[in-house]
Amino acid sequence: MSSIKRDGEETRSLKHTNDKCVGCGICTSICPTKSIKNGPILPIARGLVDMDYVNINKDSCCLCGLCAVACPFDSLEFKINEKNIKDLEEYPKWIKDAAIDSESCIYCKACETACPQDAIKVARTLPKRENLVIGEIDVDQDKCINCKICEELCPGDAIKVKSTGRNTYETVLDEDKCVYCLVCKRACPTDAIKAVCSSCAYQDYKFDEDAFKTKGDTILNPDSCINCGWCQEICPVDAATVIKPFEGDVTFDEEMECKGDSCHACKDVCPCNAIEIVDGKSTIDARVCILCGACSNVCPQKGIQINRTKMNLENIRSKSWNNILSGLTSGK
Amino acid sequence: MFIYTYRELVIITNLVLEVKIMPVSIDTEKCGKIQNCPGEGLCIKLCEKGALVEESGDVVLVPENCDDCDICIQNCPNQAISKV
Repeated sequence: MSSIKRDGEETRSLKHTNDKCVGCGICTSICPTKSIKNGPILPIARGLVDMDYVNINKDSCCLCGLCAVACPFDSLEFKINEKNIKDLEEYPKWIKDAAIDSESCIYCKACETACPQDAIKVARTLPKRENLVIGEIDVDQDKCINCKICEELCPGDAIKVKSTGRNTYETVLDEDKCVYCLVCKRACPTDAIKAVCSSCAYQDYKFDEDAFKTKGDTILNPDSCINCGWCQEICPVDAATVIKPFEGDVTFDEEMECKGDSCHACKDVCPCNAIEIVDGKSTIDARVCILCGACSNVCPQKGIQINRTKMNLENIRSKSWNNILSGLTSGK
Repeated sequence: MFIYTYRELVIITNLVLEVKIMPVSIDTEKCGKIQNCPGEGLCIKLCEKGALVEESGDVVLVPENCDDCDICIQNCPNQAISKV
């Protein structure tokens, strides 16, 4: 983590948080004073060296804030008089976003598993199992002869014959475990087990939807979310919507000889888990790529091209900033 | 007219001429001893093919293991590794 602070007419400060940074090189490429340099990205990503992804030259940084505006990972924080410029109306705003609709979410945890940044947590409460079973078992204690056949056969360990004295016993049913399979009823030699089927009793079984439903909360942490789109791709009920920071595509140079499993530098730095080595060659899943360019930076063959066509950044009021930022979308 | 990749050329030359052509070369002067390397032998740690190994404090190339991926060239803090 590095930070720069200077006092003048205003107090301006720039803070870089390495935990959020992926070494994509966007800040280094747009810094007007060339004050930001990338560290050794691949060795850092592989945990071989303990360094920051970027180094900022404190002497030449002009504290303009452009890097903080352009960083799609919010790893650079720029403040004027202690106010984050993201909250100042004069400064550009990202319209990148990710949201999970709690109305349609079914709490399947697919997004939680897929999220490459562990930004999603699903807290769910399952319905009571007994609510989902379509009948009830009742034991006629007078007819029971303590043979324990039901106990031995029960696939769910739901029925037990317990002795309560020298020659007395009692059949105990665990309603939470019973699935109403009726194995006990069929096997009971004395017909001591009665079954009441709720669907027969009510003719047409009425679903008490509320009692069946899995309830919960799916929480998306905007601080660690990088808007990669994994949740949106994997959600079976389309509850997740993501707006990525950039639009465009990634292409591989046709002449490039990808070293695949020997190298896999691109895969190691990708913050989106968008890269796999398939048949010895790198492949990028465009659906979950945010076009940050980290892979292109580390590819030793220099064979990955990031072609951004649109940057989802609005309210760029300064003409010079617009000129510099448009460099990000006109091919790198 | 045949067009070969660099790696194929190395293999062919090795076979035909029975000489070893190094896929990459280490400038021992720039490299120095591993104990003086700012990356503490970073190239050895990065190379997953075992083409760079430590031998009595020096980085030594094992050419037959090299897959020519250039990760070492790109990441050597001393810029001591290059293509021949």
